[in-house]
Amino acid sequence: MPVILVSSDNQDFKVDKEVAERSILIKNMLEDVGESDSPIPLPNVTAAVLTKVIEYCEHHRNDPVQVPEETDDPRKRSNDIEEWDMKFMQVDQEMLFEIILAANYLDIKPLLDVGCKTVANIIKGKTPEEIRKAFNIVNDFTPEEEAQIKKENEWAEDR
Amino acid sequence: MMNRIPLEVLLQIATHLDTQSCFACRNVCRYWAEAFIPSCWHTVDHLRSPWKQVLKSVSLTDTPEEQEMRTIRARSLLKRYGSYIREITIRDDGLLDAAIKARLSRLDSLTICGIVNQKVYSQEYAFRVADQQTTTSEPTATTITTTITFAKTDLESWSELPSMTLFDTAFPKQCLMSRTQGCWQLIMHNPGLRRLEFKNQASYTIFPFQSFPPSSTILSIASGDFLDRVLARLPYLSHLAIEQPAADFVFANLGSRYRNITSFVYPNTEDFGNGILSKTVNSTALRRLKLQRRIDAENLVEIGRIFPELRELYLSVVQVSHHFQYSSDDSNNSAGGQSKEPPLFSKLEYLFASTIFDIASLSRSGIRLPAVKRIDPTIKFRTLAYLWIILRAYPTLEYLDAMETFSSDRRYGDALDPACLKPTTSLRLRTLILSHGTAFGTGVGGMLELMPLLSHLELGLIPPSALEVMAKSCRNLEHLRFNLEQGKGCKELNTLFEACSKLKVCRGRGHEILGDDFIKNHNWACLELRELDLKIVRIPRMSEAQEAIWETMQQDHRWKGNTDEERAAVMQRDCSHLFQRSVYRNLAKHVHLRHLNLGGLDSVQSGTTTTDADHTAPDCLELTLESGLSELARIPFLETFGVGGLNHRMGTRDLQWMCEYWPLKKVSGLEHLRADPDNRFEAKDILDRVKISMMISEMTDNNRSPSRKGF
Repeated sequence: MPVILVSSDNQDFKVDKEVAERSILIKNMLEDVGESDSPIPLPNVTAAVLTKVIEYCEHHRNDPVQVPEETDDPRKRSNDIEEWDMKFMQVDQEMLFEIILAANYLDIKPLLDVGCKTVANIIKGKTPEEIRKAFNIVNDFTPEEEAQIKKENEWAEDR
Repeated sequence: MMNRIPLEVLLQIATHLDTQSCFACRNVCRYWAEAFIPSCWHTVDHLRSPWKQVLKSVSLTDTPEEQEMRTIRARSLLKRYGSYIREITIRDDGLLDAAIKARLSRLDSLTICGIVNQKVYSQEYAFRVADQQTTTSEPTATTITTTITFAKTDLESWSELPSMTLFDTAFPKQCLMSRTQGCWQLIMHNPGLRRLEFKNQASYTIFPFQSFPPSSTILSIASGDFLDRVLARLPYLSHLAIEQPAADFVFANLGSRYRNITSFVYPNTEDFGNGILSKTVNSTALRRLKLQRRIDAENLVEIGRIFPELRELYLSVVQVSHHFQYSSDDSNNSAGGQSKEPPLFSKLEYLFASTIFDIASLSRSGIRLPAVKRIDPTIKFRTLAYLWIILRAYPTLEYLDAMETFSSDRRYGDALDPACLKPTTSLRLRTLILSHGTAFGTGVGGMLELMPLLSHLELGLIPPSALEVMAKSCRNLEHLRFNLEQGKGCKELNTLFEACSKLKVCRGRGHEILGDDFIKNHNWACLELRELDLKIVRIPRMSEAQEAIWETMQQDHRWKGNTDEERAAVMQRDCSHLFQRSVYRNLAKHVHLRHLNLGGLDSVQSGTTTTDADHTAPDCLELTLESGLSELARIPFLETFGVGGLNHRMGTRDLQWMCEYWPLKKVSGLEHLRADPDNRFEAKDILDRVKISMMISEMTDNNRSPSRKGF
């Protein structure tokens, strides 16, 4: 049975229930509401982003539900992104962050994970200045604060 | 944009970053400086950044002032960031002292190592805790039954430590006493601990009790009682490594009192001689057990009975006496009529054993591991015969890593491949890693035929016939590494690429393919290749004389030949470039490539390195933009690129192009880079600008195995 999702700019998206339920938020909503064909409003997601998110959910519609892994090491390795996902994430930065925010809001864990890994891969090995440049972040430190943090930073360097 | 990212998402990003990157992130802006604090200070360990730097002595001859400085620095950092610290490894008194003073209370994991580095911190600083009150409690007496039990007393606060009288008077030094108290204080402040490890005789320093259960003195009961009270305060503890004498005590009660502990490290299995196993309560909670030192097969059978739910078992050495033969009750049933025992180790999936001989003798002595999926021996196979024994004994195996790290030139010869041992049915193996340094005979083909599910395979030098078997039987291969003798197996390799559609990684030495095969009927099924070592040979190139002619022409700015010789050179050049362009086009179909090594690495010829003259023969790709290199711009994620050992004509201009189009991190084999006359940059400058580590020497891009001789 299809589900109708409505983006913040009032566009309707008709998707299979199975696809929509990749989002835990929507899944819970549907469970709460029960059988109903009233559209689901998603006020935090624009049509452009929702298109992308649905594309992801369509592709991963048959994935097994992720079981939280019991790993000794919470710091997972970041380079293992699936090929399709990697391509999917080849978008401009604005869109990348919109997707991450949407995944967070809609509670789509694997998509959020891929988004975070993508960002982490951009950050890796860069200096602070390069990171600022990469994400267009303004340096809002006072000179004193910056000096203090720099000092601590020196310790992190492998010597 | 980034400022709209919620904190929880930033934290998740941080889990994918190394410490160094986390520190860089702290420097970005105010919001990030706060957000990245937890991930920067999550773990405290002398051996890791940033603590390696904080706590490292600058020189061996540290002045007391310098030591003092370091102590103060460590202490202030622990104080400031203590609430973010989740993991700590304590290797000296100074850090222990600082950790207590910082009142760390949110630790998940605590490792206390034998305290070795006493010189660095003067004793006076250790454990001067302001609000310390020591009250003495009377040890409570109780009796010993077959299992070790003790009176139940509440541990009101950490300060209710056993009185001085409990401690071994052979340790009269005040420092040791205070260290003991310090350790327990830190533990008691962290009720959320999930992992607790004592390593390198640490328990001896923190358990200096006169004696410990199971001896029958009253004092020993009290010390067991003390430990019991401590563990009762750690309800989340699931992993414990502890040394004797406390280990026996906990071990014996894993099934009764300490059912939350699912993972345990037993320090010295030789102590099983003291009869502890007979006193041990059966436990269905334990999932993971590590046994250090040697264990007898008889005792191992006991372990299997006591812990039927074991999933992971780590063995050091197993001793199986000749007469020992384990028989399950199947055989006894008819005679004795005893109740039927469930099979031993029926849930065990992962076995770590030091030597492959142990595993083989286990199977010989009748101890079966009916569910085992993965075996990791540290001392590996010498012959295929052992491999067959293991695979016959444990047909459920899915993962077998038997790569020898230190191997001289041993061979898995056909002579050592007794056909009688070979399993007859196909196997479930998905991962098989054998030594990279060995040479296999044709018998390896017969082995691969039995493994249709293989997805990860690493071998040493193999004959081309093995490639044919892989192409036919092992269609699930994704990750592949092997070596070929130079100039052999070109056709078979091509067939392999045509057959194995799931192949993502294909690495190794001596992989060569003929240029003709590569461009005519190019029909590779593996379109998801990510890593590839491949030398494409027999590519028509200009002769050296023709190249010289061409260069002279260029200096005169002439593009058309005037003499016959010049015309021939131009013709040859055009032909060659046409040919190469189609090679590049086919190569560019593999758009997922991240690693590409077009050099031959140093290929193997019967175990010896070939001479340089062989692999610099001018029949390889030119790797210049004129010859069509730009076709490779379709590969967007190329990170490492190797051209070592090739007689290429690459120049700085080509290098610059590569750095622009690919997110390169490593380039190898740039010894003979040609300088373009009209190029301003040196190769080094180009690479420096994009921060690529240039490896001038041959790239031996093999993280797992150290370089070997005879290669």
